[in-house]
Amino acid sequence: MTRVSARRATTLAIALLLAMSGIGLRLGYVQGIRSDAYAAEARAQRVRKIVLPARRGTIFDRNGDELAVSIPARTIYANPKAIKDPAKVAGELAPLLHTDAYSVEQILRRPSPFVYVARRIGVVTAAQIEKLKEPGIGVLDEPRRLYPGGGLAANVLGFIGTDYHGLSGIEYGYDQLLNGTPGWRVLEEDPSGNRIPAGEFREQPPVPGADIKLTLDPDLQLVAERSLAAAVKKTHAKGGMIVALDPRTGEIVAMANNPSFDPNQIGNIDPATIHNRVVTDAYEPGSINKVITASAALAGGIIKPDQKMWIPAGVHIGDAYFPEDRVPDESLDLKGILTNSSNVGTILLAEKVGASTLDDYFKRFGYGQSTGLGFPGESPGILPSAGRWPTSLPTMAIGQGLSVTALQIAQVYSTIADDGVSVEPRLVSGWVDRGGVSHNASDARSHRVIPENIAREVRDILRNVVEVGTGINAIVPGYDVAGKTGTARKTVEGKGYQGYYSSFVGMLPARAPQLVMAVVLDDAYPIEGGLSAAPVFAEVASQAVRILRIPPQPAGVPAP
Amino acid sequence: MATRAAPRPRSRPELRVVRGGGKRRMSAVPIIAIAIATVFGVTGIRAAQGQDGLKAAALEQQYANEQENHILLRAQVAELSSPGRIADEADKLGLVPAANPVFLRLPEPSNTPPPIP
Repeated sequence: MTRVSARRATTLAIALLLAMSGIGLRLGYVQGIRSDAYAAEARAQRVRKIVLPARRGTIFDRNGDELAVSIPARTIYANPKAIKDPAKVAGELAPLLHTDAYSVEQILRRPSPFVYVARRIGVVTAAQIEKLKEPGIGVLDEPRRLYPGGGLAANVLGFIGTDYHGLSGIEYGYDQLLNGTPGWRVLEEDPSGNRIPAGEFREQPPVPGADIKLTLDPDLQLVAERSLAAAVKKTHAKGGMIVALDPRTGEIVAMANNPSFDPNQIGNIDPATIHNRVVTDAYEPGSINKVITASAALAGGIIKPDQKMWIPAGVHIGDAYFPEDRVPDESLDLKGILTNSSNVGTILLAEKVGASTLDDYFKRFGYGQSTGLGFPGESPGILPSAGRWPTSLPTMAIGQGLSVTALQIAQVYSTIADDGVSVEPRLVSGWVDRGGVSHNASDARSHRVIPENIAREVRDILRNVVEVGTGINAIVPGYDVAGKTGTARKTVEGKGYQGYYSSFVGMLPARAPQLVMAVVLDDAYPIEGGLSAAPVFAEVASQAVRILRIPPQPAGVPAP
Repeated sequence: MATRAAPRPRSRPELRVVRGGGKRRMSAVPIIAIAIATVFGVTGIRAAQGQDGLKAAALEQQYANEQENHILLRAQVAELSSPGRIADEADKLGLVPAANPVFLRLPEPSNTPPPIP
């Protein structure tokens, strides 16, 4: 070897040594010092964690049919920064999303790395969009809430928001129970998004929410809603409510509101229509409240059922004058007072009962407190003291100057129907928990309000109201009906009394009631409850007896 | 005295040089064969595993799709059987609610005749 060659070889060896040392050092750095970081980076490119949304519990009616159910749906999102030609992509997406290309393009041009293009669309449409394989467009699993009955019982069921949490009604009140716990899945994917079969795979399945069973009967609910809507239209009312319950169990079988809404179209909901007014709106009940005064008078021995009293043309109490517009200057017994809905007769009885006792009866019948239903936004009503002002006692005795909800007034009549026992109303009959175990709701709490014989006597009087009195339009052929009409002045905030609430509360069969129903119309014409609300009661009750299998009054069996 | 003739040396096979130690060398062929078989075997198993994994993933996806489909069909049934829709369909067909339903009262159990087999 020549000297030159030897020098070259040495130089090359040194160069190689240096290069190998460099590579070695880099290898040591990559494989040793930074190995964890690079391994994590590589893993992050392959491994993906997917959130598995939990199924929100189903809401069933009393027959086990779905009233609210969660269905699979997809959300389309975009990374506008990764979209080169927003106009072209918008042109492809718009027809599939049944919208105009311009509005989609506006979304795709937003200066953000993440935008929603369409939320909770059908799985078929989403699959079509996925097939386009447009860079920057992605698809997410986001279940959708479906109300198969459309607007059926909408005010009771409520609806959910975009975060999939309840915003009103049962959806809101039982949100914690209905909501499940999301799960997750960790898996390895190749750059094309295909799962690597032998790769990492871990999964925590989602825990579905509990299913809830309501006491509502869907057929009766529909009849109540449609009859109410027709009555509101016919009487030019601003709205109305119907609540029907079984007095023996407290189960609410129908709860209708008008106006109402379709929870499947939450984007178009008028906020004024979403409340379940049966429990959220308190109003002055008017003459239907007279049963409490009558019950207190009978229970206190103030008057006997057949004892007559003189009804003058009017009474002065304090500085107010209460005229009798129905039966002036006549002797009437309690049956006559209620059958003719005599204000003066009721006021005279209340004077004898006394403010403190009447107060006590109002409270025992549940005024001024929640019914125990637990419905979101339930109003306890307004119950001032009957002795607060000189005119408080007479006005409250005839159902003015205090406010109750339609459910509270139905509860009063339910107590009379159930022989003086008040059974807490309820809407939920049971639920199936996340583990699949069924639970029945505990038996409704009950307490005695008035003696059994008093309740029967009041019921007999109320039967007379329907047979020959103001409630004659509530007759259901083949059934003995007991009930009371009400025509109450309506207070409008800041404007005093304006308009009327027309109502009828009834029960059947009167001898052993299985159904109590309250019908309330807001600003109906005619204003009298007997003319506007009582026919609605008759219409709904005549369907209810078939739906609930309530047999007619057997021939020859006397009424109570 | 006669002398004994000297014994003739026995004829022996020619000696040959034995190379190497006393141990016999194993042939490389079976080892290579085993190695190749192992490589192919492992590769084959891995391939089959991968293939089964793909099948499992496809089946999982199919199961998820069928489950989704089942939920969607149930929801569709719920929509179609909702009382409002049935009432509307009945209206279209000209049906009206029964005016006078009849309730049958069964005789008291004691008066009920025994069932005929």
